[in-house]
Amino acid sequence: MKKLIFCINAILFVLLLQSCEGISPGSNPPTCEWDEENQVVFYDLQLSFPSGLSNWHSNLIPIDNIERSLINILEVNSNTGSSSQAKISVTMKSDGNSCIGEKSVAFMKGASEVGISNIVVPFVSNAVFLVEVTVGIRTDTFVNTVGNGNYYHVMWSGAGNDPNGGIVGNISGTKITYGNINGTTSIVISKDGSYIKNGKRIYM
Amino acid sequence: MKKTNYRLHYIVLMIVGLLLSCNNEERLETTTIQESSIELKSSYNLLDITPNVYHDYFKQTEHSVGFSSLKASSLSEHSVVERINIKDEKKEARLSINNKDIDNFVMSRIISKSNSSDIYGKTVRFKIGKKSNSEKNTVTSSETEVEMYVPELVEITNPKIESEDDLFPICYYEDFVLEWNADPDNEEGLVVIAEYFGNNAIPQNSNNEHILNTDVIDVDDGHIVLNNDLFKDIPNLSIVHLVLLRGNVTIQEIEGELYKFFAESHVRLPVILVKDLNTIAKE
Repeated sequence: MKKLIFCINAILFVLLLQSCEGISPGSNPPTCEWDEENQVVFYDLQLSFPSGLSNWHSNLIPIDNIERSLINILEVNSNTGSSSQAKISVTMKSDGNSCIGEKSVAFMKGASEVGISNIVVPFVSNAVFLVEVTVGIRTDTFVNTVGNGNYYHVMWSGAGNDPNGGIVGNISGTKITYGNINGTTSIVISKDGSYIKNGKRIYM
Repeated sequence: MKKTNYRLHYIVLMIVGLLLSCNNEERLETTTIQESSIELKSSYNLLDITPNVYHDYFKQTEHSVGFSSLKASSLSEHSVVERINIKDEKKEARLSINNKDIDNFVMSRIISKSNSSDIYGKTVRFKIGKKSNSEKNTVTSSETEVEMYVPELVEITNPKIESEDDLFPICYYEDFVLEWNADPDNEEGLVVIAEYFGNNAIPQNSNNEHILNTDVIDVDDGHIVLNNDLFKDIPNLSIVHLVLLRGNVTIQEIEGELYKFFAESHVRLPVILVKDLNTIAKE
């Protein structure tokens, strides 16, 4: 009886271990293991600010309206009195052949991983190539003084497929304005602005 | 008898433990690396699971050869990368693409616009063979040729972005019309993705989620009304990347080993996604 139970257990154990694998030619690759570190580098980082910034904000950024430091984006504080909303989010995608997976990390004020023009990120250890890096950069929230809307922030979006993990750093920023309009927190579009519905631009 | 029961309980516990450890689903827990950096919780949603060539891209093969192109925004140029990963321990493999010999079998490099014009919108010829023993530069009769049509580089034409002022267009999610440069020779359709990185136009409404919803466009005729479910679980006024991708994939067994030949191009379009029109106000 003991031998029988032992045999059944052994078979079950082997079957269960096999169910954990799934690495055979033509099947789906395994999930990526993100247990290494690497750097996302911005080539010639130039984050240009849009027009319509408040005087308070304009006094905190370079005179040519181009930011060349990721650290400054996170460290420049607004005048709202709230905790900083500045953020840099990075998403890495693997090549999908050796392993499948993505990793998204958000960095806030004080993140030691963020350098002047580079960010230390998790890196996949079981893939041959990293295929794409996507970055979203957002300033803190500032009190709006140009046009309607109570507050604004500036956003930049970048992506790169450089095999060395680099992203072209010359990116234009967009001012996103919002506020409490008639009791609802709403996004505010400019006087000549529009939104898109069913493929058509709607001018309000 | 009591001793046997204990053993059985132990065995059952062990089996349950092993089953749980074999869960291959995406881990959904959020891990805090530091207070100032947070790993986002990822979730994926495939709206169409009908087999197609794009699923073949994620099949594991011993070798792969192909091209991938990214247009980071509507105002950027396409950046084309050639990726080759051929295991050739015996140093006897021979590879050519459009009759041009390739020397480096493990590489990933950006190629020029002129070189990529021989790939996209063309039928590409991949040849795999072995160098003969007597003369390393000649090819044996075991050479295999794979021909594959690679669709034109994809471009989004609506929503149209013509200047920096048009970046981050505000788009209503229902019956979202997407238009692109059609390629009538592409028989494989396209893939459309809505990717959310946790950012919201109202910063306080941002969260630590990464959502990737994917659908397939069957016909490459340049126009589609997107399935509303493409934006499922993505909050109102989120910053969403619309990704449009098309390409081709061929998996071929050559001398008992699988080779993947692929070429794709995709474009990213960041938008502000509106689900409630009452949350748009005019200046």
